[in-house]
Amino acid sequence: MGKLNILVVEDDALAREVMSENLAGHAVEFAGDKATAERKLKAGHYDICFMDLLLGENDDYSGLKLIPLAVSRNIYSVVMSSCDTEETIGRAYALGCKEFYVKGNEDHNIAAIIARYLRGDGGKEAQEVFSEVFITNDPETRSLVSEALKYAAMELPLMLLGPSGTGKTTLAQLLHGHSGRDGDFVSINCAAYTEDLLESELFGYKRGSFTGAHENRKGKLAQADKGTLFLDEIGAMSQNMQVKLLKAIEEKAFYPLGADKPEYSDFRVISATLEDVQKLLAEGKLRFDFFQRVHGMTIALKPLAQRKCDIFPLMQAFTKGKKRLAFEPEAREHLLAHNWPGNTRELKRFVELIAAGTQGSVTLDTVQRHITPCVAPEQTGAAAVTQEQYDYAVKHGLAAAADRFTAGIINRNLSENHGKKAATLTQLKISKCLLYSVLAKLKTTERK
Amino acid sequence: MADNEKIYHNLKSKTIGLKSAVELLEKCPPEKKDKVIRLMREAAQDIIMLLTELEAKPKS
Repeated sequence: MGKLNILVVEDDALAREVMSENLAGHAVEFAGDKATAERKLKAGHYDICFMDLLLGENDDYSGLKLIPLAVSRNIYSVVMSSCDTEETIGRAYALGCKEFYVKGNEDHNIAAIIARYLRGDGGKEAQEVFSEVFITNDPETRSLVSEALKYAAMELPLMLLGPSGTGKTTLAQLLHGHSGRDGDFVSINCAAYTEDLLESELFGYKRGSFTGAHENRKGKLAQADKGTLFLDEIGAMSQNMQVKLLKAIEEKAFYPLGADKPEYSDFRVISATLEDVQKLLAEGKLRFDFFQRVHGMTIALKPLAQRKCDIFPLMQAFTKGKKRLAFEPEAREHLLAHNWPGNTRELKRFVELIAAGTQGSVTLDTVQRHITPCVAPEQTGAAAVTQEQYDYAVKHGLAAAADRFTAGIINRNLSENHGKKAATLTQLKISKCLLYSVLAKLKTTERK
Repeated sequence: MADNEKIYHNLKSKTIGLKSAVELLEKCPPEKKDKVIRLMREAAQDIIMLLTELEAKPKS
């Protein structure tokens, strides 16, 4: 982080001392009254100005009068006052201040303010983000990522949605990079482990806690201390695991396998899933209480098919420092017409294939050879089954569960068609025999 | 700003200042500690004066 030039306008000596300590590492100057502040603002070159509003005894919000001057000098103006009436806050923002804070909690607030200043919404750093880290020219995606970055320095958990290959992990890493957290970015794909393995991966274990546990092992939660824990594909996590993890997220404490004392870790959670969260909740695959702990802000990334303006910039990025590619006009058209169901992952693989196997400009023929028109399979895998349906099948057998499911569908369809059996027979494509046998069973059940 | 309003504002400001200074004190280098403690004492005295002022106000 570069050294910033900062002016602190503050009349209270103790508050100046607090600011001085929290801004250590930057070039900081102080002004204790309005006149000194004006003089310094006119003569100096500051990046940020922190200003108190009431400067001295019998002062009438002279700090407010400094805001337009600081803004005209292109200085990022931050009010830090203990006077936080709605009217004062409104006036400060109307005059052009960027942030308004109530005094107290400086060690946390100042770090967040500086991180936001350095990120410079829409500024140079934002341009670098979109051309080098999260490559996108799509205005909607840019605005979404910029919005997400505003929350990067907060404790708030974030949930990233989007099909596979849309950049969820890249975005999670970017958010960690802008979080100001000193610890590591620790990632785990919840779908890659069985329940037992996931537990030991997340919580770690003590020597001798199970056969093969020859030594203590730190879990992902401990590794992410003061950093970020990225939980990918949370929809694959069992209910049991969700309960254990939500407790750890809430208390920032957990028991490694075989441990009799809790361990503590200050991690921030970013989660991701390619599945429909509402569906996961409705089907009972995702516990509502767990969901509430992990979805502070939701960011849904668009598939590449909906942001085709990113295809060529992404290709440029994939070939940076390697063999560059040039496409004939027909080849370009074909690339833009393709839907890229595998998103950036498919695009990257395509670029690697083309770069390795072609010489000169890439022709339509070559492109067609390496792109197979296909539709992405339903990424949720097998047909969705609710937890309740699953439990019923386990208890009563698959045949009974299937009968119950069939009866439920027929009953609902009949009701939606106001009891018209002909409509149900047509819509559900079933035989009269099946319909009447289900109705007979339903009647019997009603009588009981 | 009305008189009473000013007292409450100053009280709030000084107490917040003290709280922030306490957090700072724990990680303060020894050479700075004395200065911070002196400033904290001054802030505490100001708080006592403000409270006395508040007590002297007619109760409504």
